[in-house]
Amino acid sequence: MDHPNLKYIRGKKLPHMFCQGCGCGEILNSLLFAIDELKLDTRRMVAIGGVGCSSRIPAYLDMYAIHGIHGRNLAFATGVRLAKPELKVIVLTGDGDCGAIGGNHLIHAARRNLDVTVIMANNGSYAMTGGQLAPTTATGLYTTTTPRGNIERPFDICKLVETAGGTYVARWTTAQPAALIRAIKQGLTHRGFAFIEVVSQCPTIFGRYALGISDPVENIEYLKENSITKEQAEKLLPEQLVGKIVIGKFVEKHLPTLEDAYLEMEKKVRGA
Amino acid sequence: MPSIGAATLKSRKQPTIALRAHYKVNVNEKLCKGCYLCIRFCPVGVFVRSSTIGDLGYNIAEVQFPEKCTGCKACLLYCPDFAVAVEKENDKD
Amino acid sequence: MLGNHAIVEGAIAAGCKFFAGYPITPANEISEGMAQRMPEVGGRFIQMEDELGSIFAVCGASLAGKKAMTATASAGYNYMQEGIEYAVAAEIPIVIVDVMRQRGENFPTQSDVMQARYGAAGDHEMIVLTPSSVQELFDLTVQAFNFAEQFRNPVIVLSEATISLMREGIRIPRQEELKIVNRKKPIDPPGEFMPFRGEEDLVPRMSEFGDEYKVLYTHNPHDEWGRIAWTPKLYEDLYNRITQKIANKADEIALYESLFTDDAEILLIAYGSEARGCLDAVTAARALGIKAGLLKLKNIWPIPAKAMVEAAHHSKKVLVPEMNTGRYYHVVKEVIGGGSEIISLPKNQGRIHSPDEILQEIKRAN
Repeated sequence: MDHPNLKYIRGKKLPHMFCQGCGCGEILNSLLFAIDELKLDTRRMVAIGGVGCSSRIPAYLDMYAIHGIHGRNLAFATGVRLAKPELKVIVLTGDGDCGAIGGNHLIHAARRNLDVTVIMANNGSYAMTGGQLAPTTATGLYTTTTPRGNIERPFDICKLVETAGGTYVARWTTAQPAALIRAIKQGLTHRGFAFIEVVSQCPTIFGRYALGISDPVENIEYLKENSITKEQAEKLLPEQLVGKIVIGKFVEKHLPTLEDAYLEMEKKVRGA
Repeated sequence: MPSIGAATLKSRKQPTIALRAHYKVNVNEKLCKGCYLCIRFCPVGVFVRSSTIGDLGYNIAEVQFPEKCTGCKACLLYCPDFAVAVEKENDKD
Repeated sequence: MLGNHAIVEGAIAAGCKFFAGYPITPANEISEGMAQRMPEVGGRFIQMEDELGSIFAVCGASLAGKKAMTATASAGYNYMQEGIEYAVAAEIPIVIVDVMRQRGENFPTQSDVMQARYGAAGDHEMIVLTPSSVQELFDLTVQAFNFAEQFRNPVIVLSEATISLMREGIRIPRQEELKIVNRKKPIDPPGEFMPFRGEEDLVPRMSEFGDEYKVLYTHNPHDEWGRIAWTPKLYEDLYNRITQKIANKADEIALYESLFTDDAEILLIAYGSEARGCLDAVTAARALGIKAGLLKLKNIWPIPAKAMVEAAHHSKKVLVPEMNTGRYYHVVKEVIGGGSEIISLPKNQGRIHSPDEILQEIKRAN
């Protein structure tokens, strides 16, 4: 008797390297449920991961994968999508990989409405390298590079992507896997730049050092308790929003993608 | 969206044990890392913490009450390690 | 035709179907030419937001099966090192045009000769071609794609501000006259195909996105199946194969022209725009009775050692004129060794040595 998603794991090579209770394991699982329910052909897919824990997810997927360069996932994706628009591209990335070093490529890929699905695991730190500050780390928290507490303000990456032009933007946490699976399905079928932020527990690093909770169940409880919808958030005062995670689907628009525009232009050139 | 919880199930009319479908549940000790998310999210309490140490060195979760399983598959959704399996008994698939 | 446009036509003749670039003088005409021509030939063009985006987009497109190229200048080439390192490790065929220019300004220079070879991290070999005329920009761009496909490695076309922005007449051969090399495709079925097993030439066959092989590309050490493995011996074997596939063929790859080298007592070794002046100088020297010769290098890496040693066979003195502080001179010195006296002729003023200047040097060395 096997877990139903085992067949989608590259070489059935398990156990994976993620820590006990890691959100990445859940994201991998949710992604596989989504692929299975949509009955996608994995031969026509490419998974791209950068550097970091969540960027390791593509190494476990039974499909073509690129792994290893920090922050340049969306640059790779742009090349792949333009070279072979019939392939479906998924980008697995983290808050540092996507929001810091990869920030420039994020905003331009969103602006171009590149037809790609980005799943960004947000654990609030650079966990793979030991727990350094990330652009999404909340003010005041301890990280190894802010030993006296973070003095910076964090990013709301969903808002950033929305402003840059992303046409599907949603945020869920690993405490809502059924909703996450639905969102990933919507992202995969969406034509255009789909961005799904998944706030994930990181019991080993962020949980233990920044929050002071090292138990996986308590970490996920923390996410569950602090998740609020956009409607609920609107009724709260700014001070009450500190530490809350606003979940839900924020944007769903249908606009021409970069690939559409290029093919349109090409048709005119070759037709002439 | 509300998570599948005990309250939701309690409000439904339960068929008698004899007519209800039965499920086989299993925790793979080669893969389980003892995070216990299955214990937390199973609405009927199929799993328990055990003192058995799995292949990876953790005190794994174990199936203690498989007869309680309703096939909701919350454990399959939450397990980060693909360590849980749920199958309907006499399932022809 | 403008030098940069010759590069565009060379790429298209070679089968390039993807270009990603970022504006930088003096490489802009390449991007602009590609923007115009790619849709006409069924290729794709994109101006990325920076050079990092360009190099990685090019890697992605090549993995998807298309011949891909980017173009930049010295400063932009700095940015691309990580992409080049990745392409070496994952064995991705790509072509990068580096139009050398002086730091922040558009002064001509040849100072990238070392960066072109050694800029990337990790152990690697690099094939670097040095054209010296607009015709050679066309020919060597085609050759660059052929080498990239043959060796599954990045190949650098090291142009210069002088040559790229120059206009000269060229002859574009008919497509049938050109020899085009394409990457080897897999023949084993999925499950048996080993994506990183070198064949006799140490180069593995290459699958592409969209077929059934589902390869994992990474620059982490990996075995022949592509599985990440942190085993010391595996790491060594992997990089031995990746470097030797090119290093072993250095003499086959060597591209050069020799003029009067059979009995040359004073040999000039030059590459790129410097070779142009040397041609006139050597001819003039011979007219004066001085036994001068020229070895014009069309590729400087991997080092064409055999060609250099043979050309310097009778030479007491070897002159290396360069438009930098004397960089390739060290390579020549190491290769030719004690048999001849190697003299560096650096000129770092943003202009090449004139034929007269070189003739003076030849006379002085005589």
